[in-house]
Amino acid sequence: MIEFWKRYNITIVLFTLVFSLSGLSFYNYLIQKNLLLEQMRNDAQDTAGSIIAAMNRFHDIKSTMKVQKLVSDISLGLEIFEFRYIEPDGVIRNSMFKEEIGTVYQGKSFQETRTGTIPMGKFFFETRDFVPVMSIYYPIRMDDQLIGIVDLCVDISEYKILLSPAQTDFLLMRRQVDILNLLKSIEGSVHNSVEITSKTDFHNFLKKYVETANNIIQISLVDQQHRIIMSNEGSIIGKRVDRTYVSSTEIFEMNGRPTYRIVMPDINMNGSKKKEQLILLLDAGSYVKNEHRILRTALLTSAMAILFALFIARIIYYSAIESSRKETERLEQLVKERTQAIEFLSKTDALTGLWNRGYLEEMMELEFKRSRRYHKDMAIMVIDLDYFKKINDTYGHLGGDEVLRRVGKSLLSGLRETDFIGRYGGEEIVVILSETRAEKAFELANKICSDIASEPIEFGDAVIWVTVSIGVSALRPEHTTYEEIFSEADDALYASKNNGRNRVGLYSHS
Amino acid sequence: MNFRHLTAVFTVLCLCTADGWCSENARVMDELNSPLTPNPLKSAIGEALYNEAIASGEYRYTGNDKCRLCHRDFFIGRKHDQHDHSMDYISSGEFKNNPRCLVCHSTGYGTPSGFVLLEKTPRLSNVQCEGCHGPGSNHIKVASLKKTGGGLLAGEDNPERLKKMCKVCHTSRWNRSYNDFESAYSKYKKAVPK
Repeated sequence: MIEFWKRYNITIVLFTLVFSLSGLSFYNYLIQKNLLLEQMRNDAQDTAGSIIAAMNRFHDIKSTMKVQKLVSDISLGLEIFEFRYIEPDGVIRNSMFKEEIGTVYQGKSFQETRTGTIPMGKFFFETRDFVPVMSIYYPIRMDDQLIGIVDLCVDISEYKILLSPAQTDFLLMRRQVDILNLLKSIEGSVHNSVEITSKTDFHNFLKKYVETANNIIQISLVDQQHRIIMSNEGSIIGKRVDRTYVSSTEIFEMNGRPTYRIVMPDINMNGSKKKEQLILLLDAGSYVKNEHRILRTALLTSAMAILFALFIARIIYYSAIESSRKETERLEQLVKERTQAIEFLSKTDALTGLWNRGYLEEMMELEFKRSRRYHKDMAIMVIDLDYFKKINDTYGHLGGDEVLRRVGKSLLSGLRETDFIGRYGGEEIVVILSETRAEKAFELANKICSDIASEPIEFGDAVIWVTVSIGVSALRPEHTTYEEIFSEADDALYASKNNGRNRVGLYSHS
Repeated sequence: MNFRHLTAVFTVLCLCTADGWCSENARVMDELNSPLTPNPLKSAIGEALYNEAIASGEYRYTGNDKCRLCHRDFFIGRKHDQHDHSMDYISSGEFKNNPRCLVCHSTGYGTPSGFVLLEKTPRLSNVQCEGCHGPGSNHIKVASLKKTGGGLLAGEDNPERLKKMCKVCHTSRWNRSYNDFESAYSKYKKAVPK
């Protein structure tokens, strides 16, 4: 886990950053969108509320024009026991008992008028609330069409207590005339109000309402059977709408422009028990525009977060690559240097700094093959320190080592750059002289011999005089291996040693 | 059961009825010989307030048909109450115009706009709502403006006055229908408007 974190920490952090920023911007978008929607819904509800209030007021005005004032005047001012204005379907439009307005009238005698047992427009006697009354259901017609029924009854209890039947009949007849006169005046009043109402068209009212409001497209009132019973658009009145149309609030496209539909359910218009629904279509153009704007902002924020993260990732990637490249280069250089040093050490002699025997033999073979192939000259010089054992015995091994070191140094400075000098073993040093004839090699050997003999070596307080014996041999066509030349040089060296040392012996093949 | 037994039962019943009639008659005689029962409203609210209220013209008896417009349930319920049949006890006899009787058997007798005679004011016969609470016209005016009601001279907001109204008529002589005044009083439910 820790390894994983160490390896991918930057990636994880960047991903988290991008996701957090994108998430935040999306969350912000959702909040703002919901706020816009909420605001539009509240506005729509306010508008719907004001429309409903206006519509109810409209109905109120109509109702008031009918019998409201009459009811109030009659119930309190006259000796009337009950007074109702009932619509043909039995719904009480107005009554002296406010609680029953809007309900269907359940009176027993009223039910009997519907079945025809009690004729309308005729007086009859019954008991209401334990009180003997004289009642009449008076029909109000307009163009031969029943538009309402007035239920009116008077208390006649005192007639029964005080008077004889003959007197009662006479007085009741007079009372009936009075009541009929009252009913006639009520009928006239209702006729007048209905005429006024018919001139006040509800459809026109809604049409005017939509025209004056700047964002309302359509107002419709739908009944329980999903039939449009009223609308500002006359052409759709009476049409049916889908159940889904009235059950959801949504934004949809209508005539190419975004429209918001809000449904206000269970509206109780006009005091009636019938539940209706108000459907309001509002122009949602500004909402859609604003919603697109905040969506664009959210997407831009996310895109910027991703780009920013990619940019940081790229910078981190390049800097990592660069540091890695530098480190590799440094390591390669170090390995190279170390390898060279090891290689050098493996080829050199630690004491004298000259090439060691292995490398010397390798080079002798190489130089031999090269010279033979290209028909070039080549000579080999074998140098041996005279009386080296004696030097060791006299000055110790440190003295011997110092002598070897100094002789090596002297050879390096005295010979040519192209000459290859190596320590063959003990006090024996071999020099490969490429492209050098035997005579020249002999000359060089003599120079070396004399140079070493002329320069004493200082070791501490002592001065050591050193001489060398040298054997020289050169390549000839009959040679097949380098060992042959080397052997010849060695022979020449022994000859020099035998001839008194401090001299050069050139191998002579004749 | 034989004839003798039947005769014994009949005799006992006759004796009881006669005793009841005699005692009822004795109470009526007692009442007729006693001082006149004062006007219940004037006694309950005091003469000064009574005079002021009547002089203002705001307090007039309307009859319980108007009470019924709002308190319809209470109106129907009262049809089983003896108060609503109190005039029946005197209307057919010699006392139907006797002020001593009318003061407690009608509504607002002795007060301007109250009961006068059965022939003149049949709608105020019996002890109606206003018989105990006083004239209702001001209450109708007040209650039409605010839902809390009020505006009665002896309303439920003033139980002491209301109890005084009861006690003017329900004296020790005429309290046979109940034993305990407080429990009888508490039986009357509130006339919550419907």
